[in-house]
Amino acid sequence: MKKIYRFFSVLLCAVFILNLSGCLSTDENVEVQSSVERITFSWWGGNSRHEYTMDGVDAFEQLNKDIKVDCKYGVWNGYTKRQNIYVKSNEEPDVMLINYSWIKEYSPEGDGFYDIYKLADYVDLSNFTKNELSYGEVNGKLNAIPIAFNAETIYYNKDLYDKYGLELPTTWEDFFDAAKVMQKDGIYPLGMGDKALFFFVISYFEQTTGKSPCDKDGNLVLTREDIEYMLKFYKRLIDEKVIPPIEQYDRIIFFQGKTAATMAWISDADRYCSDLLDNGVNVTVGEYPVAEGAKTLGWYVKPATMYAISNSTQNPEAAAKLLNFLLNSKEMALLQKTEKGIPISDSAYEALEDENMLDGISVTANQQVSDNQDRLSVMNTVLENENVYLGFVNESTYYLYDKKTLEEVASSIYNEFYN
Amino acid sequence: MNNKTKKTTDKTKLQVMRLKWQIIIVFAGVMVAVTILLAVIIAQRAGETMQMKTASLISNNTSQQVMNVDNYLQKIKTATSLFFSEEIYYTYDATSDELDEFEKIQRENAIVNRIQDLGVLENYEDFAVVYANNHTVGWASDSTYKIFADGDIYEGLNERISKEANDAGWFSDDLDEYRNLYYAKRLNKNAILFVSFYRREIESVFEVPDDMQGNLTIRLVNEDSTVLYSTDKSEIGVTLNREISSLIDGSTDNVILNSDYLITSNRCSTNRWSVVCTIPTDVIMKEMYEVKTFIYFISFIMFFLMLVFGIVILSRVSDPMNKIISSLTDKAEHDQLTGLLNKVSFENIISALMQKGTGNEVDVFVMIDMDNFKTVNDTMGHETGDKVLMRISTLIKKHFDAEAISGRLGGDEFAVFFRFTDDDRTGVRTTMQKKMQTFKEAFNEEFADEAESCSLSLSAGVAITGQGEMGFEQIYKSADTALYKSKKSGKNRITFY
Repeated sequence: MKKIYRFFSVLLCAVFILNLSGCLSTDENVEVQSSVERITFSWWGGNSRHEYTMDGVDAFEQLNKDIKVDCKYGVWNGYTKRQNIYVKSNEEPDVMLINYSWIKEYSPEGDGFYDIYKLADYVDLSNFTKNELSYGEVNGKLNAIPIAFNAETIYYNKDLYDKYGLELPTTWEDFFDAAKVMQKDGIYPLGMGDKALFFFVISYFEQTTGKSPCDKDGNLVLTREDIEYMLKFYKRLIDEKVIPPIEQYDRIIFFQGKTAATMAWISDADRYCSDLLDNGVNVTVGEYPVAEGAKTLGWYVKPATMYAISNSTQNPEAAAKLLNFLLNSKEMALLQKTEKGIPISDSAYEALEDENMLDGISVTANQQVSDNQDRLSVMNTVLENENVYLGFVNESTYYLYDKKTLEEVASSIYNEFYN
Repeated sequence: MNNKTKKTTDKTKLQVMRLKWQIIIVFAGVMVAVTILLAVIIAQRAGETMQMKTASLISNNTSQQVMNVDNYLQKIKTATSLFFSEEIYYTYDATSDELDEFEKIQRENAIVNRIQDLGVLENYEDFAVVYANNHTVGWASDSTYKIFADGDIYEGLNERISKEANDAGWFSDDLDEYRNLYYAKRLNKNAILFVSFYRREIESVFEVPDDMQGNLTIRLVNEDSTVLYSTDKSEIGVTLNREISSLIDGSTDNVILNSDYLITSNRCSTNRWSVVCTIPTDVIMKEMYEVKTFIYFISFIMFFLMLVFGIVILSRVSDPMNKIISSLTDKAEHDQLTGLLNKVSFENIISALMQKGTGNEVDVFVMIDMDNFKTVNDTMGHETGDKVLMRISTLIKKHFDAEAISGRLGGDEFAVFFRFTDDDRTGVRTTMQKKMQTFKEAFNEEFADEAESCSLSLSAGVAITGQGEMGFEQIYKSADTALYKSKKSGKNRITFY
């Protein structure tokens, strides 16, 4: 009987103690917080790119519950400075949208970005040809993967040209002739931003002088005289009202009909033209202007934008999963459409094709690139260097407004190029 | 006879058992009452504590989120304030003719550089200056052009900040489906600096705790009660639920718990926006019900164990008591020397028995008395006398206990009561004559020595009656009369009445 006493005593004491201490829990383990890998992802662009990219990130997070993506984004203007800060401070986002020229700038030996070949288990590289991947390769290391091909293209408000009885320009002089007709109403035949202007002037320079701005190794070889030649053409464009001052240029003035054409990347075609097209305006892709007797077109094609992974990422697998989603997934392809150009990735292309999304002005512009493959040159990355194109544009202002002589400005630009 | 006497003992035991169960029932009742009382008190306190804790948790969560929102908004205010670090940034007027075009470009380039410096690492959608002629410098987004579709960004912003005391204001617009949140601040009489950011940017500060996903709704509400952000996407852009709005109306920081919602509201210090959190009361109550159910379950287990424990204890106490009661009962009912029923018990039992029956039974009362027993005492001593009494009692038990009830009436006088159910009175008489004769022979054999030394012999009187015809007194007297006749007629004989 004593055993029974002891049994009940111990049992009661145990129940009391457990009850009072709250240990009679149904769960053995209490999970306070689940572990989530956090990665960062950066890009530049306008509203629509921001919105669909963030929607894509949401979709990615839904598919990968254990990965949380922090987004870092901004507009293009000033973004090079941002990227430079990331790189110099060694605080690069895990996954980055990068410019073609940044590969050479930040990874001359191929060690500046993560070698994506090492993450081939997570990134489906079979969607790209060897040649396509070669744009992102440095010393056999895959630093970045191109999203689409891109080229500066001229988009015309044909209704406006028709209004003035003008044919769409096919030569450089056609623009000057159009300006003579349109300037009475304060309308410019063409408008463009700083980088487009630089490429526009380079093309004119190449066509009319037969010189190339770069040597076969991709080094800039423009002389002071070459720069003076380019400056004169630029000043003529401004003085004869072919283009508005680039400081005043914004895509909105093309929409407002203050310029009858705009020069922009294929990847920006929808952004620049969609509002006009929505309003029923006839917007069309124009031919590349050609000078009489020109031997080269001086017009360039390049990977539109590329995705890269930081060399210092702590989560390469998670970063690679995001990279693969951005490049190859149907979800992202349908969100992105042709905003960055016609996707190179086979699976992304097929997704758009299946949904009949391969249309619009960017597709037309892309077709023009395909039609002129043999006349177009692959972009020399040095031409996209901010010191080069912004150096030219910013310094030239002193010449345009007669604050310095042609020689002084050319000399300043020359120093900017080579120092 | 033992069976009959046991009945009395059993009755007493029954009473003890009844008392035992009464104690158990009372004990169980008290236990139930105490357990229910304790369970209710604990559950009540647990519920109140849980409500308080939940309210406190959500309130703290809201406070933290308001701090986060404030930090983010303050960062934007700071960036715009830094625009006043140099005159060239905030005094420039693009509408003025004082500067030539080149100088304007230089100033605007400086402003663009300043914007790029201040916003270079931020996810700003707009960071630009708009002048009275609607010329913009910096990052002006497509969304802004969409909101001010007439192109008059300057006037649109001017209207939104004119109400504010410090020439600055926060807003969001339904034309943009509230996707961007704006801050605008006047730089000079013809220039307004504006910054915008995606609503999504502040989503990260509104993280809902995992265990409250789907139940807790967090909103950022402006001064007009328009929901700028909500974890419930369907609420964005609409006016805050009137019921909730009326409850928090006029209060900066409060916690309200009613039958529908637990509501916390905290106002930002940067502007007049508030973070309003709600969780349905029944969600909290559901948790409380689970806790209560657990408490009641544990209480039931406790009650059950206590009851079992009590019963065991009671049993341990009542078993010895039963033995004592049995012993005391036995002592009260039986003659201590012979073990037979004493006169009182015998009379009580036989009286009760004679009253029960169908009327067909035949009752027999035998009175036995030893002749010359006094001589045994006088010559052989009382100890021998007592032994003689014990031996005759043993003899009576041996011969009659299986079919009769026997008792010691006093001294050397004994009584035996028979009840026959399957014979008539004549047959009974014959049977009894045989039994008594057998018994007398056994007596003579047992006490042959005493018969020789002290002339010890046996006399008996037998009374026979039908059930219900006589009471105890009558049959006793009849048997006594018969015994008297035996004594009178020379002893050592059996007389039937």
